[in-house]
Amino acid sequence: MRKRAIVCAVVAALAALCLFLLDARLESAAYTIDQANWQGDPLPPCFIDARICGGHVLGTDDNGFDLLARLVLATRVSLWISLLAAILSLAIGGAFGLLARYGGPVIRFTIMRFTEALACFPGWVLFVVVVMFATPPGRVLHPAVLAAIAAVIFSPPVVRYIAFAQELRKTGRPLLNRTARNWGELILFLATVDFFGWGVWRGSPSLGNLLRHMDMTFLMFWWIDVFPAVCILAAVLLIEIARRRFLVKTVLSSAIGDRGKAGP
Amino acid sequence: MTDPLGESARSRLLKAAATAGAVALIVLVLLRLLGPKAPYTTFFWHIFSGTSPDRYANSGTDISVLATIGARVPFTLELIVVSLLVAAVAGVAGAALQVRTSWPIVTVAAVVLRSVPFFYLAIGMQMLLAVNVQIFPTAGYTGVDDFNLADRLWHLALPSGALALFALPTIVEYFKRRLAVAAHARRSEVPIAAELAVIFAARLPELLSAAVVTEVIFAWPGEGRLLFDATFASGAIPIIAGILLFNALFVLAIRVVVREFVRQAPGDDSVYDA
Repeated sequence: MRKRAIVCAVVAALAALCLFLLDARLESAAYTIDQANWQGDPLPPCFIDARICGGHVLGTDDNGFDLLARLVLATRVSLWISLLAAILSLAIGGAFGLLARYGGPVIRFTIMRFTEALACFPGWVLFVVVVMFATPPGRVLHPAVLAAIAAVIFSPPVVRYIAFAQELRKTGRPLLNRTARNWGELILFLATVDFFGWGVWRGSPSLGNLLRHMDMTFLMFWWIDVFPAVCILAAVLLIEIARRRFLVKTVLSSAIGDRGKAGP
Repeated sequence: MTDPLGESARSRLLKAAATAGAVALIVLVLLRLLGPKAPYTTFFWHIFSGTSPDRYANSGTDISVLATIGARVPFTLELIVVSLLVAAVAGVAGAALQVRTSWPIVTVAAVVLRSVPFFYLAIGMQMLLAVNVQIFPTAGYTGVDDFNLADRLWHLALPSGALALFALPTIVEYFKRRLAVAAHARRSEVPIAAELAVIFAARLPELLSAAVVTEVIFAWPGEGRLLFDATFASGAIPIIAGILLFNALFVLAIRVVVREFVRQAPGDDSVYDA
């Protein structure tokens, strides 16, 4: 009964996430609210009666923008870029994995050595260096380019799965598992690079950009930093629970605390 | 000597050497294609050579790039070692607690910790424990001129605690499964230290990335802080190239050593991948 409730909740949350990602009306509505910004100190959230704070239910951020509208836009931007990066990592890793599998011993040796070498670099450091060198002076990189760079960094496990799999037709579930795992990790990864200023353009809403002043606002205006973090936590947690439920069967029981039933 | 995977020592050595060559080639191609244009050998030469008179000089100082990076490495290692010790002890204890009781608080905490951006945890800890409550120093590695162990440890507590929180979920997850399996099977032949070494080698790149974030937030003078400063300084390309190169070679060396001693490939995701 408890498991069934969890499965229903996960499915409902996944449906909500898909609706959130695909429904364009949400985005236009968020932009409309975003125009009505507040001049002055950030307004705190007012959950009970939104009229007393001008309709800004979650308050305003340090630039006076409506925080709820910024969160809708930022969550959408971050989820899309990280999803694109996860899919690209599957495509890039899959292509090189197949090449390593069927390309003969020399090509296999070369690809696997480069894969192993790439996996040795600290991902965040490599990303920052590539973005630093690849960005033309006075300009910013397109988010799709950022996603492609992140995808290359996250691709080595996919290459290994495909190159070393005993039967290629049985790699579907592990590859989906890895892609879902990459998606969650990429949300955190891209939030970090956005926070430090190496990700999407600073003026563009993304979850990392919303947190970029948290060293100044954390203690005084807690809502500006707590709500974006909750969005990140919710997105990553949802992906992780769905991944464990549908792609790694044995781990859900340990996640909900059943003693002695944990894998592998 | 042949390992359980059927590879001879010579083959393993050849692979490690080829991977090291691939690391160097990646750095070289990255700098050549994307960085400032210079002869192929210039970047590597300036990493290992002394002072440099041209625009690739080490930010105008007369200290070699290698020495500059080398001076920061002990700080990074100190941070990583202390945080790993804390994470290992807390992780094994937490996993044992989780397996012996049906209270899922440790699992939930581990999953939540893994789902929050690490910089958020670090800045949150800094704001709450150093700025608001003022229990720990806000940043830096010492508050006095002379060496004082207590003062150093006091400054180390917050950064290493934050980094330990990053490493903790992986250790808890792994040992929870290991202890649960061990409860139903005979005692594992692999010592805990060896298993920790495999996890450490597998997750070392992520740990180094998190160390960079920690060093930037807490102004810890390690190589991550040096790298971050170098990205904003013109003419610091050899420093960036050097840190990138040595970090990757360090990870490779640790993985080779762990593989040789533990006989389990740290690059193999099955050791920690749920």
